Amino acid sequence: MKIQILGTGCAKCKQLTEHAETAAHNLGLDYQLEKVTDVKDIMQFGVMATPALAIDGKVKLAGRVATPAEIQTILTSSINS
Amino acid sequence: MNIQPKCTCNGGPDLMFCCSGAADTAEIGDRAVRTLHKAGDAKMFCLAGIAGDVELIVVNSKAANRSLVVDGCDSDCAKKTMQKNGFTDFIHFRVTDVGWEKGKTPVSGERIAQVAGRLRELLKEAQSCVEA
Repeated sequence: MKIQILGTGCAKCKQLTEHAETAAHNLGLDYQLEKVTDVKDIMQFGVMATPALAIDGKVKLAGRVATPAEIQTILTSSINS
Repeated sequence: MNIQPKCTCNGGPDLMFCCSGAADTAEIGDRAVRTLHKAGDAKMFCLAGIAGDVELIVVNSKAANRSLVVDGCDSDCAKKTMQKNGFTDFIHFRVTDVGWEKGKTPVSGERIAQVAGRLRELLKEAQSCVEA
């Protein structure tokens, strides 16, 4: 599974990265984390606000820092879809 | 030279959703929303995308700084569509509340401008609430 954090690297982006890693770790997932920091690359995802979280290229959350529990729900639903 | 990119984590845009229905009052609402969109006051977004549960539209809509939902009449289709899909925190405006009757209100530039002006005021009022 590829977890992508979209954002230019501010404190919120870092916090979302930490929460995503915690969530993936709690679920025991085999994952690859990618930080997408270039604004042009971020725009390619179609998000209108950052930080954002994409799973395997699909945007699941934008504009806020989700809790690890919330990200676990997102990850679980992505696995099952 | 290393140029630090501007942080994009300062909140989402103001979004507008409109019923864009078949009635005259819905058309007035739709065209007023498009007027604000073109002027850059807020961004018009697809209500059909919310109804259709289009993931990227839903995700971006949840990231909005403020949402303005416009209905043409008291059927409130746009409001109900938003609520049915989990959106509850939005400003709502109904064109018939201006005092016009659905089906008896010919679309005119004057009416569109009147509604656009009211929508602009609502966005401004909401902004002052956020800043207060």
